[in-house]
Amino acid sequence: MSTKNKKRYAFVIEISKCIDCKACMVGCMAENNVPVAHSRNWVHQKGPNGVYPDLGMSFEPGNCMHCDNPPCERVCPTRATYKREDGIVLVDKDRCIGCKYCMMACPYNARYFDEEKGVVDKCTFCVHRIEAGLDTSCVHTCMTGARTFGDINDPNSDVSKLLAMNEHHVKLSSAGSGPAIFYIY
Amino acid sequence: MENHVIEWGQLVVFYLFLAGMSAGTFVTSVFAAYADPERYKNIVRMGSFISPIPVSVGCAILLLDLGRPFHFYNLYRTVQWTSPMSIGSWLLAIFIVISSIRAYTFFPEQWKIVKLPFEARIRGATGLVGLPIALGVGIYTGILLGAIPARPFWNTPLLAELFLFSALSTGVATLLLICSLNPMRSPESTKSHEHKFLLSFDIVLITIEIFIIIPIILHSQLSALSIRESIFVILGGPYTVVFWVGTVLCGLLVPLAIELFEMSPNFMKKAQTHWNPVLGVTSSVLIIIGGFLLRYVVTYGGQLSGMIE
Ligand code: SF4
Ligand code: SF4
Repeated sequence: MSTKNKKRYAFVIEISKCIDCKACMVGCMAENNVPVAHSRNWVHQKGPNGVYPDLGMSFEPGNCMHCDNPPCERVCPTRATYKREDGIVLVDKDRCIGCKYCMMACPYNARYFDEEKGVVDKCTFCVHRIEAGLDTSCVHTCMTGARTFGDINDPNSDVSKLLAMNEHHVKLSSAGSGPAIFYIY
Repeated sequence: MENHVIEWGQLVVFYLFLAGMSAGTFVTSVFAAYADPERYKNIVRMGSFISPIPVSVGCAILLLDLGRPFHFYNLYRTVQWTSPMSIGSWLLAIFIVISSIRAYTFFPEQWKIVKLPFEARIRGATGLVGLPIALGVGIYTGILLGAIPARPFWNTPLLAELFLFSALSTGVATLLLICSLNPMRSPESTKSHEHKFLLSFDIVLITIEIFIIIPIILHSQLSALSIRESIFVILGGPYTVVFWVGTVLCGLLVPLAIELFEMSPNFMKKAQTHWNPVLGVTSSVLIIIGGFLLRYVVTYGGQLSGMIE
């Protein structure tokens, strides 16, 4: 299989569409049985921006960026954290010892410690859903369509089209981790 | 990016500190053995005796801190060259074995259950092989934190140096403390040349530490925004007082002054060192506490820091 045919899953998030309703967070918690004290995704409030009277707020949803070159994977001493062919970064719960080193290494603070299971956990890009041909839970719940999920190696996917048509950014590019969430402002 | 939670707490601080202390006593013991095993007999023996203990306690503590302590063996199912923790786990395991064997060779005859063949050679070999491993343990505790770009407060190569020299110094201080309390002093020995050996070694170490801290502070001011912001935790932020008063003043400057005073007769005329157990205990306890606080400030402070766009 040539690299061209390889999938690379990613998110495109359109900041201007987010209204801070946090439905993606609630949807994810329910879908993935996330422990009450934690969350796998977030909505960060940015602003107020601008000069009075033209003030505005923006909201920046996010979750694990499923980095190309994930620092969490690099530092994991047990190989519990690994990256799949399609770019999805996962934690193997059988190998994880709960040392939390990966939490130190993630520039996005995308991981949490599951006290009950004693392991570290995070967003899985809803791998169980996409393998069944569904959208991720957060994309499915978002009522404004701020989140788009898909394969950026497929030029006909929605994410590729959005990226082709709009200027986009990644967060903390200086970390060099190659995040797979692209933001359109 | 926005929320900073302390995930590595006191137990990690204790572990980093104890591992460093063991490395320090081991290295001091081996150095003394290379300098003159007869003249520095007590240092060689005491250093070797003690070295496996703190690190073993530290590792036990670290296991308790894991989410799943009973799966710790997963660490030893693989070697991950890019993970300082993986390399460190292997170094620690090897170090504990080697330092324990070395300690055993120094046991009084009546304690020895098994008689080792070629004991002198085994002792020599543990020193030779153990020295780089012990230095590796000292360096690793710093690299563990320093190799994490996501925490700008940690992300300097100087951190590994600082932790190494601080580890050596806490090791020397442990021996100085024992030498000052002196449970089994042979009449004259620890008073003079052995005391001087420890003092001069420690003076060098503390001086190096000071000259590592200075560039860390200066550099951070001249660095990228994330690093400049992160140094705030010790320049006005929550750990300012602990760092400057605890680590720098009480943990480095005061003991350095005491040690220089103890050495002073030696500088002027070829006289012996000042031998005052009270001063000895004070300076060594201060160094040990200072070394602990250094790791406390760094471990906690780093977790408050994060990258900035
Ligand atoms: S965002 Fe964090 S947890 Fe997710 S892949 Fe990147 S470094 Fe790992
Ligand atoms: S907590 Fe688990 S996944 Fe994270 S670095 Fe440790 S072993 Fe790897």
